[in-house]
Amino acid sequence: MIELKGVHKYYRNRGKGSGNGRIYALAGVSATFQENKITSVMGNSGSGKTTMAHIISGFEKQDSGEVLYDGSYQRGRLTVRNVFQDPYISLNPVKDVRWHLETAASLNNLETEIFWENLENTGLRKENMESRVVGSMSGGERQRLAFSMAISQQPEYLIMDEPFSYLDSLNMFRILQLIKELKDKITFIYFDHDMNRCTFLSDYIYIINGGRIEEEGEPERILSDPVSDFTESLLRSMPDIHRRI
Amino acid sequence: MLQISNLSSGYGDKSGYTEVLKNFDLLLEDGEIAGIVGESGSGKTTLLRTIMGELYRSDGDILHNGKSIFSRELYSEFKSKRILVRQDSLNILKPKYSVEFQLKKLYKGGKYLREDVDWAFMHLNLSQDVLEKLPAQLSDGTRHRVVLAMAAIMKPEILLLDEPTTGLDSSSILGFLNLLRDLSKSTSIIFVSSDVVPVFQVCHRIYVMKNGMLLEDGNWENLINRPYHPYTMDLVRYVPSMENRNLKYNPTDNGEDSECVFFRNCDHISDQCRTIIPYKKNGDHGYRCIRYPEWTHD
Repeated sequence: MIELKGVHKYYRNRGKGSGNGRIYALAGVSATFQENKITSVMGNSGSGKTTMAHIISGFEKQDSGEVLYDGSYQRGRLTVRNVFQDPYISLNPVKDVRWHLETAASLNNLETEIFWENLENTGLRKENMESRVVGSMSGGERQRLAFSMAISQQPEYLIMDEPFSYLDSLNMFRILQLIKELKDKITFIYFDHDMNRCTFLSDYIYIINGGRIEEEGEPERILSDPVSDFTESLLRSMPDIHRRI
Repeated sequence: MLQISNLSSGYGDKSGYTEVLKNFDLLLEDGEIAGIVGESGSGKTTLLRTIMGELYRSDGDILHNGKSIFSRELYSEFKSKRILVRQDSLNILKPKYSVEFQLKKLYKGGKYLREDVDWAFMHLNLSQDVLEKLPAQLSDGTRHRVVLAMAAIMKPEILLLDEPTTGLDSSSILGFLNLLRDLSKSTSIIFVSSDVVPVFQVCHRIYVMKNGMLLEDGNWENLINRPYHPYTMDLVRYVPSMENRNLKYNPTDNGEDSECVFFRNCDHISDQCRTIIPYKKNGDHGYRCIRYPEWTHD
């Protein structure tokens, strides 16, 4: 279990007329990520999602508040992996897919077969992908490669920050379905701005706005009986294929 | 009116050429928005780049109000009338100038129309203080919206949008779709997206593509309620949402490819699917499936 307790994070504003010069990215966020559950954090751009993802992963340190991994400040042997919106960060653009999977497998002492199998589960075919160089792949293909490599390493936690933004709808559906099938093995923490995907996928949702948690709960409850005005406004602008504009 | 007929194009030139787009047809009436959906590699971006005149065209033509946009005399005239907003367009903003300065530049010495800017900014949820900022002071999402606003303010005759909603949150998407509706009165818009939802919400006519082939086109109602191609049916059915939480997508794998580009994952194949499949029309509803209407009873 990963817990955030009253986490604050601010940045110094060096711009003109910036008052006391602090901009809060997170202003007292408390959240719990239960094992073997899919928990989503849903918020618009600029709401503090990415900062929250970075703090949970340990890339950034909070200015106050606590982050507890199984009750301890140290992450210890808990394995946490990340998938980012732009998978270029974690992939080598001049190497092919085979190189990526074989390297990742040998570094983790795992069979390469597992990596190929998971790649195929995301809808990419081995015979088409093997010799493709990452630089020549589309955004959606790169995102699926990065995701398949992350799950193959069998981490206890997988933190995903808008990981499938370039994917087409059908492949998106397939991968979200795959995540649900894997939740007994991996605890997923998923960040996205799309309410449809969050409610489709998760067991529990946090809605974040302006660095604060606006609402939390199970998806059914949030959709049927939202408490906060902000959530209501989100629900009104929810995209729906059956509703014409 | 924009009319694309039998267009084939791709990368390379006469000597060596990889064809991506195959015999594509499209008809865009004034005041309408055409939507193109399909996965990556289906030829969506290739189509837009061909309309811009950037790629080698081996067959077919594009007529704008009856005149070919590829004709030598009209080339420069049409060049200024069409705009392509590319997937990475947020990087076209010049780093050293404020947003307002760059917007004023669009009028090329003509009168700066503040109403136009306010109109686009209002729809896209952009506040007035964005005008004074430098691009580096804005988030990716905001820069993206500024570029969309710039394209709208220019009111081109043909506006081509490549994945414009990627990275936008739902309220911005809604505003953007309303902006397109407004703009479509004077501009022919082609909206390309791998996310089917915004396309189905706003477009009058939708084209479904896969592997460079047009598989189906029709209006929103027909494609949602009476798709003629099994691929379209999958596309509109398997959309992540609360209602679909318990829906399972398990595509078949027929283990081989064939003339029909959907053959491998289709539940309704027969031997007919191994022949060349013509594009047929039923009124204004077009489809490339030899098993229609039999498959709808399977």
